[in-house]
Order: sequence, then structure tokens, then C-alpha cells
Amino acid sequence: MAGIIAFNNYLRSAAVVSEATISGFPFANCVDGRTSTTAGFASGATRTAIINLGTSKSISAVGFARSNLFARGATLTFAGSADNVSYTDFATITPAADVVTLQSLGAPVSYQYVRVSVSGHSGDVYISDIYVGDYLVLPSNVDQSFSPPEYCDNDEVISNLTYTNELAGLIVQRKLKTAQIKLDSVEPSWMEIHWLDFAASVKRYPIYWVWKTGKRAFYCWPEKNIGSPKYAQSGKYFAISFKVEGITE
Amino acid sequence: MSYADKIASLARRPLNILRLDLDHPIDSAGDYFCDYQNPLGQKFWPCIESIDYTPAKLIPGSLGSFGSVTIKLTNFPYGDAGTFFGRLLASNEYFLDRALILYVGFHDEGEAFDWANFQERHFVIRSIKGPDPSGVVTVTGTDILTLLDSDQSVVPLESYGELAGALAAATTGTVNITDNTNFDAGGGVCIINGKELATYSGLSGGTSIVITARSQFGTVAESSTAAGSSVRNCYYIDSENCIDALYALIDNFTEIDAATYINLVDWEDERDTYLASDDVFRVITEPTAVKDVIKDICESSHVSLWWEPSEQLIPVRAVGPKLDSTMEITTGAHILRSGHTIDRDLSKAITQVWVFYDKINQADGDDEKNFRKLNIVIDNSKETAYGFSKIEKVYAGYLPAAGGSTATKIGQRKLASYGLGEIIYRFQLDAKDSQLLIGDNVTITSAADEDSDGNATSRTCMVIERDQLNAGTYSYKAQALGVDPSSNYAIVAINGTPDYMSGGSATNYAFIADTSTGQMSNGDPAYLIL
Repeated sequence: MAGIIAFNNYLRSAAVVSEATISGFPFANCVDGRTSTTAGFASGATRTAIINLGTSKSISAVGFARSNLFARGATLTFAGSADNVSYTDFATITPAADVVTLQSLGAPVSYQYVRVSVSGHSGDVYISDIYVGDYLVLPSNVDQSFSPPEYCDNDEVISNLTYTNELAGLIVQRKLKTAQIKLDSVEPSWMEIHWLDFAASVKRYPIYWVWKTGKRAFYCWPEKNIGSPKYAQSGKYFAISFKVEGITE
Repeated sequence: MSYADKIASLARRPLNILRLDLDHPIDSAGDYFCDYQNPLGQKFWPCIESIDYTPAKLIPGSLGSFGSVTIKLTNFPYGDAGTFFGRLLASNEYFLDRALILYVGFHDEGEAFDWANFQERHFVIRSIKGPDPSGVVTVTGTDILTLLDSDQSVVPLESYGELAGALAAATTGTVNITDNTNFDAGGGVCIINGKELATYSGLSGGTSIVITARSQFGTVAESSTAAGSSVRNCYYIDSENCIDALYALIDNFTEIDAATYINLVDWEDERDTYLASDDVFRVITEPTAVKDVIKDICESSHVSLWWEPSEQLIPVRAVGPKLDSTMEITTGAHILRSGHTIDRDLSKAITQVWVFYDKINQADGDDEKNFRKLNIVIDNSKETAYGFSKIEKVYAGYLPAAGGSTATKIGQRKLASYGLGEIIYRFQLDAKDSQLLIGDNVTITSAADEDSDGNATSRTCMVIERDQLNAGTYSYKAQALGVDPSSNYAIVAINGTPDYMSGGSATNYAFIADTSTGQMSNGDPAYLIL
């Protein structure tokens, strides 16, 4: 199966009905798109936030980026409701590592109210981004020369060598991971339906990109610009190619 | 973990955090900024683009120069409208001299954030520029010693006395000077008509002082000083130890919080060990920048005073050999390949030092003719080697009549340091060796400095500059002191000290060596007395 992208996070334009978050670390921090701000959930009890999506929306994917859920032994549960009274769990994630995660639901669900719960944690939990929305199947496989972002390591290593070439120390400076979204053979029908929405969204907020089923999600944004899709193969298909940078942890 | 543990590790991930202590922060808990990635659970804005230091410098036997830091940050949208720095600066128009604190350290992703992994560097904000069209905000801060500058601190404070009536040459007692603001209720020294120094014992009302003696400190009273002539308060240093005088100036006449930024125990230890007999004497007759007074006291005592950023302290140190152990560094184990040079400037060589001291007229300047005494120290072997004399004159305007031993010491120490000109070592060290600070003595054994047999030479130097190039690398400048690294230095033992071989005898004390062997009874090298 080809990869998927998720760029339509319903939580971003929704109203927070209630939240049990740490002072100074409100739920709004995990929907602002920034990796530098986090929502905080104190230890000691299950902490929840309830969000009103405005209308009932079809939800097909949930996810999160940059958190310490695994380090704290936490479980993240998503529940939905039509009336903010009776809730039904539709996704539960107990991370096996603190990595960017995007989970597609077996079948879409529709709710107006979403309740996000953090439970079972020892120590405060911080989450930089929470995703509730839909996803798109990418129209073709990535290029054969593709480098998976989770294997990318751009960290800069500076070595301090003594006058006689003995190693005295290493300085490791963190850099973002990079990858290239490069898709050939994109059907014109897919472009007509999805491209403009995608292009508008990816310039406003980062996206979740899983380049292949079962692989780690990449929370990323365009490195410079997304360029222009090009016709290929005598006008039968489009080719999309642009660089992205982001995080996988 | 701690900062010391982090720098001892082989691989580290650096992180710099900035706090601006403005009067009206955006976040009530304080506005913090960082470079690289904001640690989870911390409210740091990761918008620092660059941090550039101009390092503080130690000038041997003088007041050091200030260090500074320039930080560039990127502005960003904030709130419902506007930008973070736009809003912050609009709310904080009075940011001059507010605290700028840099936390320099390390943080690994996944580990719990810990302030113990960081060192603090304190500065005061001098300017904030921007945001420019690219959204860059530039903040410049200087270190605490900037508060010694003349617009911040002067001694004595300005006074405005004027004679209410004519004053005959021999008149003492209560004298109406119309305004005795900033005169000392406990008495002191004043200058009359810009020429004559007189002592006074106290104040009378708000207009008068009680003069006790005229024509003091080498000055002569006019037969009659006209009404309206100025009477100004002076600052009188009466044969006070140089260290005590320096502390009093900083504590009483600057905005520097001496209790926070001076380790008084260390200062007093330095005084008692190396400067016990180094007094200073002066009458300062007009408001003078504290910076200039401190500089002159340092040069009259051959003492260095500077700002140490990594310890957030103002240290003071006598120039010369030290009793405590000296760090040793070598090109094999410590000195990095980059940036290692040895510069020798023979144009700065000295073969004679002339120290003028014991001023005649305290109201006049430090001209050669205004000194009673001259102490000359000559290095005859250098004069012979060079074939000519190179004389440095020191006008020690703060050395009293009894300062002969200090004058000799200044001469000897300068000849030791500059006999072969100025020798400067430049080198870089990994953070694991960064405990070497400005003002420390260090013995450097460098493959780049050979003796006539081609072997690496060892020299004892004083660190005069230390700059952080990045989180894991420090750049140094050190000046050779002319101290023999293989010599034992000590002070004269106090009365009652047990003999040399008795257990517990302090190794800092000097004992007399065997005259035939030049060694102690167990073969230890003899001592050189400081």
C-alpha cells in the first residue's frame, strides 16, 4: 500500500469545552502546530480535554507528535460523542516508544465532540501536537531512490581533536530530519480533488506523513516551497516533488 | 547529572537558554528563549539564531576590559495579533541595564530537563534592536563591570559647597560653605578653591563643616580665599589595604551588588596571603569614574581585577606565582589542534622598571615631578643580552610613602613577565578542561614551543582571556609570567611552625634549604619566598 498523509486536523479550528491541563501548558498548545509548545497533563489521575468540532465530522485517523507518553507509561484515549453526554472510545494508543504516531481507524467514525484522555502515567505528560482528522492515501508509491525520514540523521557532529590528534570531545548539534516527497504517476483526478486543499494546508501547519504502511510517521513541513506539479507521460499523470523537514520523535 | 558531569562526558548535545528580566514580561513566569529544540515541559521559545561573545579580558596588574554578548533572535506571530517581540518591546521601553541571563549547558532529548546541567552567565542589557525587515531582533548585553563606567558610578559624589565668606589661611573650626550635601558626617577631607586640601571632623547643620587642619597632603592655603570659592568633598583612602580599598569602592559607589558578585572570603584570602602589606593612599579631589580609580589602584599594587562570567564573580588576584597547585595542560592530552599559536613580541621587552610613588601634592596630577620616591629594579643580565636598556615607568599614584616593598615587587614581577617581551599562548580546550578560568595560572607544555634541544618547553602563564566558541570548545589566551614551573614557591612560616620533616607542616611555608645541596633534608627542591 502506498503511504498516507494527514493534514486536516479538526482540532485546530475547534473550541475547547473543558480541559484538565497543567497551568501554563493549555490544550491550545497541542493544536497550534508548533513543536516548541506543549500541552501538559499532570500525573496522579486521568486527565481529559473535551473539544467541540462544531458539527459532526468523519474521523479516520488520530495521532500525536513530540511527547513523553511512552517515557511516562501513559495511554492516550480518544472518545467521541454527539451530545457531550455519552462518549464512546474509538481509538486507544499505548505507545511503545516516544515517536511521531499516526494511526488510521479501521472504519471512520463521526462525532461532534471529541474527548482526549491521558491515563496511567507516572509523572507529567507533555504533548506537542494531537491529531484528530482524516487522511489521504497517496496516489502512488514513492520514488525508488527515496530515503525514509526515520533513517535520516542530519545531526552535526563536531570533534575536538588535540594537537596530536587525540579525541578530546564530541559536540552533537541536533538538526531536523529531511526527506523528499516525490510521487510520480499521480492521476489528474486525484490532483483535481485534493491538491489545492493540500497545498493550502501544508503551508499553514505541519502534516503527518507515513510513507509506507507500518512505517514511522513524519511530522513535517515544506523546507522551502512545494513547487509546481508537472505533467508527465504525455499528460496522463502528474509528478509531485518537494522537500520537507521535520521530526520523527 | 550536573554541568560538570555533562562536560566530562565525551558526546554532548548543547543548549543555550536566554532569560530577559524585563519589567513587564509576556509570561508572568518570565520570558525564556532557546536555540535548538525546546525541552519537553519547558516554556522556552526556540528562536535564538546566534550567540556571539566578546570575551572579558584580564589585563595583568590592572582592571580588565568588559565582555559582552550579542544575541540574535527571530520574531514570530503571537496571540490574536502582532508578534512576540513587537508586543514585548512595546511593554518594556525602559530596558537599559535590566538583567540578561544566559544559561549555557546541555540537554539530551528524552532525558528530564535539569537546570543543574547549565551554567549561568549574567549580563546587563545595553541595547535591543529590531525587529528588522527579516524579523531579526538583536539584543546586546555587557557584563556587570560595565556598571563601573563613569555615567553610572563616580567617587566622591558631587558636592556643591561654596564659602559663604572669605577664609583666612589659618582659619579652622565651623565654616559656612552654604551647602554640605554629600559631605561626610563622620569627617573627611575637602578641597578648597580647587587647590588646598583640608581635613574636617563633621558637619554643622545643612550649611557648614568643621575644619580641623589646613594645608594638608602637600598643599598650601592661600592667605585669604575669597567668598564664593568652591569647597568640595574628597574621597580619602588612608593607607588602607589595596583589597579593602577596592571592595569599599565597589560596595559603596557602584550599583554592583557586592554581596552577590564578590566572594569576600576569596578576596580576603588573596589579601592575607599575597598582599598583606600592600596599602594604598590617596585623596581623590573631584568626582572620578570608579572604573578609573580601580584601575589606578590595581596598577599601583600590581593586582588584576576582572569579571569571571562562568562563576558570576569579580575576582581579584596578585600577579605572580601562586601557592596553590597549577593546572597543567599539554598538546598531547588537552590542547586542541585548532588555533594553537605562540606569539613573542620583543618590542614589549623590559629590562628596567622605574616605580614613582609617594605623591607630594595630592591635589595635583601624577606627573613625575610630583613624586618624592623612585624605586628602580634592573635586570642586568637582560640589559647585557639585549645590549640596551628598555625602561618602563610606573606612576603609582596610590602607593604611600611606606610602599617601597610594593614598588620593588612591581618591578620584579614586571621584569619576570616581560624580560623576554610579551609571550602569548593561544589555544583551545575541550569543555572537559574548561575549569581553567581567567586569572588562573596554568603550566603549558607545548610541542609548538621547543627548547634548544628540540624538546617541548613548559611555561607558567596566566589566563587573560577565555571565550566560548561553542558549547564544547573554549578558546584561551594566556600570558607567560616568567615563573619557573619547576620551582617551589612559599611564604615565610609563622612563628612556632614545626620543622620541615614533621607531619602536618604546611607546604606553603618556606624552610631554609641545605646551603651545600640547595635542597631540603629529604632531597625536595628549595623554596623561593614570595
